[in-house]
Amino acid sequence: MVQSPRRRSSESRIGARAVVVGLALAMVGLLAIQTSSIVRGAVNASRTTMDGASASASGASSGFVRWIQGIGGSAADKKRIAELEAEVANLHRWKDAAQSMVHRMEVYERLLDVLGEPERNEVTARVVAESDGPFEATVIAAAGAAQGVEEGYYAVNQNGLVGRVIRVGERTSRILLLSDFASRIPVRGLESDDRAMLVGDRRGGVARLIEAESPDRIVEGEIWVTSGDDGRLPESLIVGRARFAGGEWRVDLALKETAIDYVRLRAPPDYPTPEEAPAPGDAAAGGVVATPGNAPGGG
Amino acid sequence: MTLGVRLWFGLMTLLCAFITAVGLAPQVTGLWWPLAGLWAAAAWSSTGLSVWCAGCLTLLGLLTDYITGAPIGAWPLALLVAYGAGLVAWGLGSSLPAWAPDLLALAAALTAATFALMFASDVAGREAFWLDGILYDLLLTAGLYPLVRSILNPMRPRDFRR
Repeated sequence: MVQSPRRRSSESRIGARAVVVGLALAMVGLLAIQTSSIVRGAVNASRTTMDGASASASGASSGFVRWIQGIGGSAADKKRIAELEAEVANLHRWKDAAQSMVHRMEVYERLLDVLGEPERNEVTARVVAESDGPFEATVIAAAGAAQGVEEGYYAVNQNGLVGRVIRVGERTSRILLLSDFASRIPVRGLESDDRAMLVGDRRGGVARLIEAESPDRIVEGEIWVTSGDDGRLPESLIVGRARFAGGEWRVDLALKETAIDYVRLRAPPDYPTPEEAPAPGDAAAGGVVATPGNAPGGG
Repeated sequence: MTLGVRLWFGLMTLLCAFITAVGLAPQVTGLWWPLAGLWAAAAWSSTGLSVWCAGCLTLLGLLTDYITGAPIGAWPLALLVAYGAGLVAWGLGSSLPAWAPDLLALAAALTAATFALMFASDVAGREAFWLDGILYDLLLTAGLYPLVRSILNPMRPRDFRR
């Protein structure tokens, strides 16, 4: 039987509609299954691979942007500016390090025989991409597993703490910025000595201070630093300045003071627990660890 | 749809992906940046329903998800919904003056995409969706649309619409 052209056209339109609606429903399904941690793990693995590709694409587009910005400037000027920028960045790093060390020394002088922060692996990397969309605030740095970077490393720049490495590729790593909703860092005020949790808040480059021990003691404009209470970050890394706004304490993040061009990726302190690394004597005796249940006098 | 048009739309998909990638460059961080995929969704809706366009938008959406760190499937859903909203707008606006359906399609596409992204964030179990992070980008996308519309889709609506 021969179908009329109008009927064939109508059927193909229905087919096309079915395909488009099917694609949309498939995407809803894809989104829904990402609530499973197993699926999210698999998705993260594919994201790790794609982060490298994103960095390459962004690197190429970065070159394009630089070319646009460079129209009208001479090569010698650009070279000199690049040299000075590198020098300033280097000096800021020293300033940052000096401030941090002064504070640490004060603490050490009060508490004699305190064990210092151990030396750890670190590497400087250029930021090749920055994502500040509705879903997350991250940057991609051009250093990855090949340079010894691992998940959990923290990133600092000349202004202070930038964030933490959440995914590592072969030559790139994705850093979750302090301004991301998912970022949570234990912090301490330098003047008030109050402790709180710094939670990312994307509005205007600030973060919120929640669960402060004594909010009344917090001082406007006070510098806040990492407290190191979680054992995953060293203490005294600058995160920003306190500001009271909207009925709560917020922190103007130091990372937002300048563009993030370079970051220093450092290994976390990673102190092993006594259970993970027992003393040599305990290990020889079979690694038995005293618990509240079997400790002498422990009941 | 002819082979030439399909190839052109494929090329425009790559161009939109490149524009999205340029938005990640550290030099443009903090600036408003257009959502190139929504240009494509709005512009292509004037050609009528096409599986090829839907496929290109899905591919572009997946690339955008990986580039921007969105839940996988969020941007394909947003672009498909925007495309669908554009198609409906073209259908409703066929009796209006010549410029009106295009404007209506753009407004419908941007609005639908925003709601689709919020829905996607909710379905994927994300803690928060930051509307401010996309609001100004949407405004810029709308503002630049008249300039790029004829590049993304040089065909006159009449050429393809039933």
